[in-house]
Amino acid sequence: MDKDDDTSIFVSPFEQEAVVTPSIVKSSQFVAPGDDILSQESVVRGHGTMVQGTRLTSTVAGIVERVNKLVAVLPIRARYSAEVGDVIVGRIRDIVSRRWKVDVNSRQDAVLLLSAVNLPGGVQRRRTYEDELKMREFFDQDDLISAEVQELKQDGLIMLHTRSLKYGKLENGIFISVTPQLVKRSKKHFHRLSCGVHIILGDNGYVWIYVDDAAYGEDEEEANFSKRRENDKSNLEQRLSLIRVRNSICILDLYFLSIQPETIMLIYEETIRRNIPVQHMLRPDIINDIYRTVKNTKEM
Amino acid sequence: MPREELISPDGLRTDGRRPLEIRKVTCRMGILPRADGSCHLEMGNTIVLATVYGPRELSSRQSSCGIIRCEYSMASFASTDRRRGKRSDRNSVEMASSIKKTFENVLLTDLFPKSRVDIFIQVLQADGSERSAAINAVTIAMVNAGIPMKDLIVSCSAGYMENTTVMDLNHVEMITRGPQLTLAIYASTERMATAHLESKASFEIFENLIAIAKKGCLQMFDVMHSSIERYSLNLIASRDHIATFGSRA
Repeated sequence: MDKDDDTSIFVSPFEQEAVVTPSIVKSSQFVAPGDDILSQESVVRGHGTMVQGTRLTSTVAGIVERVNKLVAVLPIRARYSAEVGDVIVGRIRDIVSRRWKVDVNSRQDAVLLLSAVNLPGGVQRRRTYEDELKMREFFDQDDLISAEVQELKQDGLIMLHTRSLKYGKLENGIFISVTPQLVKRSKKHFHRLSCGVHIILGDNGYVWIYVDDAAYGEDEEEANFSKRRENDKSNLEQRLSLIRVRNSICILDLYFLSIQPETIMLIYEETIRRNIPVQHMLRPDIINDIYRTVKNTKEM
Repeated sequence: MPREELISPDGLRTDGRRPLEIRKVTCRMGILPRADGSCHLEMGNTIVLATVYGPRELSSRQSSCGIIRCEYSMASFASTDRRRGKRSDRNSVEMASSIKKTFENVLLTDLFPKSRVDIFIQVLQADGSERSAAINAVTIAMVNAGIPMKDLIVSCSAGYMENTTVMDLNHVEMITRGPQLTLAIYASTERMATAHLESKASFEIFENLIAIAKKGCLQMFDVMHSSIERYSLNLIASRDHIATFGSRA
């Protein structure tokens, strides 16, 4: 255990760790802004590159990606840049005329039009003025929602839609924000972990951790609130595992490890195996320990 | 002269450096997890913390390209005499606006229209050359935040004293009020980005100062570039390392 420099607030846990041999990296080219990108004569320049005179240079720090003639540089850390079809988790920032402004950890707020949501009851019709007045009943300020990127406008404006039963308001769960580059785009973003906890891995680096409502029974309303409270008590175990998942994701983010169901469970199971209580999971010495064990697992 | 000499007969400066040596530079990136980019840069005893947020939503007014805001402040414990740190004092405002202008030219602001980038610079220890330390720290913080920019901007100072031109001035050398130049250049093209001269200098001295400062910038670039590379490769290795495991499991 590292006891020497744990105290400094300016030391991120990542720095305390010895260098991982960048064996995978050696094959590809790393560039910083302004560095030349080695290339043949005719290339199509993609994101993260620019032409300065006769040179093709990088504008971000990252690894050069080549697809046929297209050359692009993917930044290692950056804000989320949206693509059509991405599943995202976002927070309603503001309500303006017939649209919601949604914070999605991007360059600017995304827009969710009133016409891009499913009305309750699943009716398809023109949105009336009454619907506009009821917008706060669907999604109010500071509500969390899951949605999909429908369209990207010319100036980079992100249009969202929630026109599927999968998407909508998020309640009774935990929200955590991670580096977007750690979440891989994949077919599936709604996962059920083997510990029974559900997660939504938003492409924008926002993650929602929850227990499926079906477990509570769907028809329970505020009327039998007390009953629900009781129910909640018996679900203490469940809640603890919710938090354990949250802390596992936190550890993955701190060490810049890829965030996928498999890696989350790797950390999760490691902490259970060591009997680490949930509240101690994020102690610097403990995360360091867990990280080392997980790192060494690969050599098995 | 009553004050002690700045350059000893052996040609060494007050802190033991030769005239054309920069101080030891260490930089750490990504130390503030809540910020988009951060850098803690030490040049000898000068320590600067730069934080970058954005590009993020610009609510007030619309513009076709992104705008940059910059705030510079010096901690009250940064220099030998303790003074109340004020963000609005004239020096800080001047410093902030000159750094803002420098980075407006190098960031590709047309790639993030209707957004803003906020830069916060804090000097934690002031031992000379704060201006160049601030510029260097902001450059690295920008890289850390993944904000697209044309080139790395590197900066170094140079001064003329006792018939010698020296680079990377420390506090003792700065308070002599001789001709002092802070130069910032684009690292790969070596074009000038900012130059800030204090007190008058003859043309020959000025040219000499530019040449020396440029040399210092290039030395600075080597250190900065290698620490960016080391940090980044570390992150990539870490991410890919466990990802391959995940897919195998």
